[in-house]
Amino acid sequence: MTTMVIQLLITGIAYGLIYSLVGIEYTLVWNSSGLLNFSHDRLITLGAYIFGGSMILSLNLNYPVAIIVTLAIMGCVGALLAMGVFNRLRSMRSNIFAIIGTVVLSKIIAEFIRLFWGSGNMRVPGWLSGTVRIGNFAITVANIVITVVAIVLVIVLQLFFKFTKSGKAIRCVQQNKKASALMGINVNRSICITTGISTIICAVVGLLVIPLVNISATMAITIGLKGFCAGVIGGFGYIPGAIVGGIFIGIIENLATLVIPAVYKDAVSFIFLIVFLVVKPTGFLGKRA
Amino acid sequence: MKKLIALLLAGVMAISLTACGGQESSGTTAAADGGGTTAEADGGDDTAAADDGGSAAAGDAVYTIGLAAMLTGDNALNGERMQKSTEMAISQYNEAAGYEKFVLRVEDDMTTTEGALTAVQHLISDGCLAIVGPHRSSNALAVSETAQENEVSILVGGTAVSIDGSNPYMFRARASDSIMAEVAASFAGETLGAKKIGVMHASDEYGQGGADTVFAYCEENGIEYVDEPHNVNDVDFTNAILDLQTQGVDTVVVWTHDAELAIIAQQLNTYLPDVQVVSSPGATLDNVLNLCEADWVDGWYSVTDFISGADETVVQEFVAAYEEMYGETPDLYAAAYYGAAVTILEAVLAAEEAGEVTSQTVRDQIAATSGLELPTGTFTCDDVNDLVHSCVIAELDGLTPVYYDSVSVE
Repeated sequence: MTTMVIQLLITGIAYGLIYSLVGIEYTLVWNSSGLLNFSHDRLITLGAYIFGGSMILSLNLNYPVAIIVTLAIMGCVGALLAMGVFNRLRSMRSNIFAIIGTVVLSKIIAEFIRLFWGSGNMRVPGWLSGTVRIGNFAITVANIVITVVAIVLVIVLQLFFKFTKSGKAIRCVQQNKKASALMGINVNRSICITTGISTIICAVVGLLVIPLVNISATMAITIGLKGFCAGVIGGFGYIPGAIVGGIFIGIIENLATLVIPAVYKDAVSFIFLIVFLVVKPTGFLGKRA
Repeated sequence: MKKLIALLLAGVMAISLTACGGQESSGTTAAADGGGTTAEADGGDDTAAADDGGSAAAGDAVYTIGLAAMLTGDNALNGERMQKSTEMAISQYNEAAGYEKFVLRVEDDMTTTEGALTAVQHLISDGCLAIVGPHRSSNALAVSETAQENEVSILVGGTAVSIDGSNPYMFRARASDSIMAEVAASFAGETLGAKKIGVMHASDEYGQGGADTVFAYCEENGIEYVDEPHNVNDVDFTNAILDLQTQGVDTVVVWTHDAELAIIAQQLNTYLPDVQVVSSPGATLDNVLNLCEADWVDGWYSVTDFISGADETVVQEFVAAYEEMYGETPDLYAAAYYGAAVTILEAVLAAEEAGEVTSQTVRDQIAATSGLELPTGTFTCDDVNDLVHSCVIAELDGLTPVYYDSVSVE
């Protein structure tokens, strides 16, 4: 039983960090533009298709080059989305229009993926494959890489926001757009950079989950939803909250299967989402958010 | 500026007219690349089809057959194979007739129940004598009433137990889940000597139907089993596999959909590498095997409708013809729907020989099908309108499905 618990914890932490990254994406776009971006799951899928479908399987690029090109493309996609869609949506009279706008954007990206890469599933042979066995424990290489990359990414993001001029500008815009504009900060540019970063994180998530779920049109639907849960449970609008929320969900939903059938695993996250919305809408770290 | 706009509009109109004219004069294929549109193997109505064919003499009958295929949506690749094999059957029978005796009308069911209903309604209104498809059990059940009300037979590929023969116009052109899952369970119990079987299955009708059959077999034969259901589109099966490991199962029966099957293969290989596995038909399909590494599935067994490597003459002839026509090896979708199409075509010929070809007489002839040798087995219609009563067991040698055995179930 102990072996099983530890094994579930390992898997839970890896998945939890993925949810954390998705929660961070939501948080970044929410803080910068005031939008709830429900196209995140499709952007994750788009990143995976660009990397796997085009860079590796079609162009046969090596992994480092393919990763850099994919992240660059996704960064540009994010900036373009900010300029063409998010900046316009955020100035709409009602947030509902903006939310529906991002849902429609999600559909458009899904159809683009289907037209460009087809509807079949894909795998990237050899990408983060393999298993490390230590005694009775089996840890997939993918889970190890997810854990390391997610931790590094969170640290890099914190450093960027605290010590770079652009990062500080983004934080100013998040706090008060009007005051930031009066202080000479280009708010629209700041939103473009934030959305670009968010989209790059989407691509990173897409790359990391390929060995776990393969590349398919529906690969990130559950991950996207649980990322949203992570944000709410941790404290929406606060990056450390998204991290805590993600890891919490990842661990709880895995350990829950010790007492309930695994088929109800997903329901655990959503039940916690509803409980937090009703009982503690500010989430774990809500006071600081 | 206004002149420029006027010129542009005029240009667009001219192009549109040219395009329309071209389509009308050709009168042939219209692509189904959009959502829910029509593709035709030949154009227009029956008469037009005969005219287009150019070789039908006056008085030569032309019959329209329908195909409701999943040309877009989750299963588009499989839908493409449904269409190819049906077109191949039509072309073979037309060749034998010496003119375009059979016309195929194709509708995209978009792999949805609404799409399937619309597709079948279109095909019925186009005067199809019988319809191949739709594929999924849920889609087949969704169109069942429409087919019965209009007295048009549908030959579906849905394998769910709930397709029970209560509709006299719905026939099943594949072995049912109860047959396949029973073969999987008995193979695990008798051939592999399983003492404790873990059953990983989708929690929908398809997976649960198969699992229930395995449970029934285990209970009858005193074999312990562990039930591990999962949701459709789940991606993490670690918990279920660790539970199977803890409970000490020696054999796993996997009864689920293609995408989940590939992920389960990977995770079984990680957490339970030495277990014996018997799976649903998906494990022999390219769209699953392309997502797997050889060592994940090496040594697996799969109960399926069709293996291209089987040495029966009827299989080899079909494989050779398909490869010649399309340059690729057929899979079970191609084989199953080739069988469905041939069954309809044979029924039409039999009805013609009997003197009257209507959708009703074609239905009666399909119901009278007996001993028709086809790539997926010998087609004989039973009292619940099941045409196939056998399946194949394949062993996976790396990523290659190898014929192991054929099993008939009465």
